[in-house]
Amino acid sequence: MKPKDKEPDPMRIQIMRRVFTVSFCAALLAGGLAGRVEAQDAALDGTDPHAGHDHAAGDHSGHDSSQGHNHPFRDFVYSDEILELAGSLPVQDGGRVKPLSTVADFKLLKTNGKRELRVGVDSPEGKLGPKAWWKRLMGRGGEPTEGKLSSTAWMLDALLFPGHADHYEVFRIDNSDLLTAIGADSKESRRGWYSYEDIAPSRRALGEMAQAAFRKEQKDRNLLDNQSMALWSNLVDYERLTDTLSFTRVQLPLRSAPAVAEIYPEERPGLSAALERFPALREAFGEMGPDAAPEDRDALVGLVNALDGQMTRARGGMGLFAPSVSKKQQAEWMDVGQVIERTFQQADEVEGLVPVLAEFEAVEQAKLDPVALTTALGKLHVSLKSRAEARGEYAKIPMERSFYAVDFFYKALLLFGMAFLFCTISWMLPRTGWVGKAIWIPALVAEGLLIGGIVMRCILRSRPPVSTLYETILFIAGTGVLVALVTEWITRKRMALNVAVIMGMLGMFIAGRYELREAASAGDTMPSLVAVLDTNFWLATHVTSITLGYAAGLLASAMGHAWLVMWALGKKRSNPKLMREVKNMMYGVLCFALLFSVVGTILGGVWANDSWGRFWGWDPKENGALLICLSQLAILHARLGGLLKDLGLVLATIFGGMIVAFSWWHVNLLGVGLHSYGFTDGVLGYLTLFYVLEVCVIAIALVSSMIGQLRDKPAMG
Amino acid sequence: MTNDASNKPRKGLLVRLTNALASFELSVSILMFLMVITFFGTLAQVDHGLYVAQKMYFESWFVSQPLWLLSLPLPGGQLLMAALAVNLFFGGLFRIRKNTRTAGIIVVHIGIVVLLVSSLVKHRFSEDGRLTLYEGESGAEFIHYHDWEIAIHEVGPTENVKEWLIADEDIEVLKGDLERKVNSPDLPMELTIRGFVENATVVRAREGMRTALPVVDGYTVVPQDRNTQNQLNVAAIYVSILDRATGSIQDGILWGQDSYPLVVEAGGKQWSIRLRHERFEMPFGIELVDFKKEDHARMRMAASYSSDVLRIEGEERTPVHIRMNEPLRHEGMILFQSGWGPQDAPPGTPLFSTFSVVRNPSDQWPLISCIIIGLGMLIAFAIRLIGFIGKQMRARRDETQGQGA
Repeated sequence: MKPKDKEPDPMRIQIMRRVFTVSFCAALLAGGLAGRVEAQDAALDGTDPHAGHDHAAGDHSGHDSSQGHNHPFRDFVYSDEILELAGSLPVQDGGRVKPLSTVADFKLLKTNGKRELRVGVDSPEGKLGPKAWWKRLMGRGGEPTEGKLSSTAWMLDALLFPGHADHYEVFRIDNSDLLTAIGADSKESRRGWYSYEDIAPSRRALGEMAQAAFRKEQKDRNLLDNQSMALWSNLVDYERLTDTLSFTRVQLPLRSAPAVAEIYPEERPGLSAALERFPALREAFGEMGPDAAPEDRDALVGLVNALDGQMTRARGGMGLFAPSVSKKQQAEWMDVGQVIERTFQQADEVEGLVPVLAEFEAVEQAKLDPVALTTALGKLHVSLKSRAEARGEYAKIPMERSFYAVDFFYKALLLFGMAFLFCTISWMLPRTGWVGKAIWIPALVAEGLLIGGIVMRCILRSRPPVSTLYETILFIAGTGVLVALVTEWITRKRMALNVAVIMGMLGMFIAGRYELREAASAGDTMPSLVAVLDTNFWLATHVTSITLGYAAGLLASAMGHAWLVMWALGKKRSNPKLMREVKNMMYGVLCFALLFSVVGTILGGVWANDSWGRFWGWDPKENGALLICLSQLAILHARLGGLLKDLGLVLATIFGGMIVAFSWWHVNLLGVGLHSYGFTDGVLGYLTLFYVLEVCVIAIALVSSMIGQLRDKPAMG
Repeated sequence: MTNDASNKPRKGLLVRLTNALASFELSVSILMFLMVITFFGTLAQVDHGLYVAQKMYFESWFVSQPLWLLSLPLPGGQLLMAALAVNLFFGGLFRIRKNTRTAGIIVVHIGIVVLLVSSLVKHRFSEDGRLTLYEGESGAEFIHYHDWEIAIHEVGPTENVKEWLIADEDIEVLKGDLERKVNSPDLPMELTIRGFVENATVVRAREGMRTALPVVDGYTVVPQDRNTQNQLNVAAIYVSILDRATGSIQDGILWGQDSYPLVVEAGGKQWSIRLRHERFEMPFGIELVDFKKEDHARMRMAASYSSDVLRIEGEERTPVHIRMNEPLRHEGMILFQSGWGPQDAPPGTPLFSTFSVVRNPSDQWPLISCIIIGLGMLIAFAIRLIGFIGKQMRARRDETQGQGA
């Protein structure tokens, strides 16, 4: 089911033409041949020079088979060595150098919603599926059904076996209305995942729908608009990905002419061969006079046009080739299109890159044989690594591989979950002392993992712990749990320990959910920062302080909830001392929150004064921070003035937690001001749920208190 | 002495007033009202934009907050800030118990006073605007983001040109039928200005066109919906010029985006009249030598942008580098790198650099207040934390001893 009549993306064609005009013609002008080429172009029946290539714009290598190329399927399982070699290849994407496995992780997460892919029996991994293994173990036999493919394996398939990758059900579509709208609802999908082949026939309809949605203002877009835009983005990203190594499959067409045969004895040279002998080609052009044989001229111009086609096609996506010059001279890595263009221009940064191109081609040629593929990938890995090392850009690659391999935050979630299980057992069996002590072990290990993960992120990014919305979740969970654990260590009432575990578990759960959203919007949870945030001093002072304020405000609110639970269980009469101590803990944490909220807010003003020329601008995020400070100040003054008793203090602190949530998330949803950062689609529902629950908690507590007072009065009377 | 309250001498009015002004009740009320107007003022920015919301909620004495079908009267930001200052003075500095436990709190209150004073100074005495330059251009004045002025000068002289200015506060109130006559003994004319529109276009009045505003020389003002980004609004105003010598009257329309000024004759001379954003002179000039913008690798997001400028003072030219978070501070002026353009320009297009320019006498006072507040809070927090930990330790020791016994 291959689409045959795909429309080239008009935008891309425009870009291609511009690139051709600007760069290639400039290169040829330098060789004094522009006139000849233009004349020859005109002679070539006036068609677009790219139209005759086997990949129309907007098309991708996965469709080569429809145009005469044959993409074989993979029939072996990638070995660990292959996956390790491929996963640790350095590439530049989203403004930084990272391992290929990270790119694969987030691309798959963005498209598929998960970091691994379920595949069927048409993949070698399908034959190792857990269901088949289970059936075999139980002696029931049966055919294997499905298995899992890691993100790196999926990416390798997309790069080397695009025809095979087109079959994978990688596109997550939850909304059947979207499928109906683009006319792709013919396939019955049990799980809501679709392959490229399923969607490709509806590409045009999807593109039109997405373009219409893009033209709308954000506030006017509905769910269908957002989903069509997201699916379109995923589709285009996938096509670009499968096109990344298409240059390795290129065989340039040569016409038999003496001038060309002299330079290229082979019938259809690959790209590396063509570029390797480009100086000779340039020389041949230079020597060609007006009386040159027409077949020589046609052959040379045809070859140049073919190279130009490759140059314009292989633009965008990841940067695969580290320039030969220093990072200071050129920070940007190159794609194949840029390598071809710079080779035309005889630029310094492409020195030594042709052999690397040849190594990519060797990987393509070896892809059907796992042993040969391992060898070829090994050579490529050495080359790319040494080029990155020469620029000082490889040092963090192994660390980043380890960071994602350890999966700190997921493991922390599991351990907090285990600690929570111990907590519930300790509530049911309060006299069993060892269970209470056992909570410490998973809680401490989980907190260690959480802090370790945050520290590794700081090292990888060379940034303080918080610079994105995702990182605020990690930091708030980490510091909130730490403060609660320290409080527990001081008080030893097990109350703060329970709160720490619940806070850690919720924090890690929210972080996991939000990671998916950040992957969809930024393509990475370590994205490049906008210019104003390029200051580690203010990120380390203002942002860290204010986030600590958030963490402590939420921790105080969580302790307030714990107090309320005890109050509801009648502990006020049975254990008033414990109730008083928990309240004091909460009050202490609230003071801690006020310290960091106020200092963080004023530091933010001082930063704004240095960046935007004003200390205070009534921007929504600034107002959110002010609201936190004001609410905490009001609570403390009301307490000092005797206006709030115990219950009032607790309920006000819980209300303060709602204000923290408003400031942390809600103001970003307003879409106004200088701080509307982060991906917040879909957050409003969760926030509203949080507000409603908290208001219910406060209302129930107030009503219960009033009923209790009414009951007590006659008794007293 | 007796404990009977009825026998206590009745406190004087001044004492009772001082107590009320210093009370926690007043503190809590002010803080809560501040929360309420901050909340509504934040939400109002979605519909009205920052500039209007700021004027309505934070730079006002009273606020009328729409709430469903009702209108809820609330104290405005200015009133609350004034009340907070009074409460802080009486309660936080004057009446507060002065001992070791409250030392930190008093320091915090002093810091907040510094902050409030710096805000007041900034609000009353600062000027801010923008200066946009292309490479090679220089300038010594900056333009206000919001406020308008009418500038009048004689056409012809190129040196020592004297300008007469009508300020924003005299213009923006002239909405509807209100008008103002402007006279100066140095000017041979009298100006009558009226019909100020905050955001408008000026169009040729077609036959049959229905317009509520007058048509002048075939043109009329068409009011536009107010843009929530106030700096994008373009004002218009009607003007009548009476030549005192001849008694003749000339009418005109001034529009903020006019390419050319309105030129009239009075007293035998030609005069240029223009509506423009308010301008302020700087004590030095700035020449943009080079603007640099660097994108993140393989992205269209700017990683940094900065300007190499020459600060011009007489014959002296000092090179200065201005970038995000690193402004130029000199002679009471602060220049920030705030923008550039044109956005999405093709390679090779000349770029301009925009600086935010601020004259703020209290520029660094917030930093001082931050240090004082932070210090005070640390003192207060440390005292409480030490007390809390000591108490916990003692309680645990007592518990252990109790179990041992």
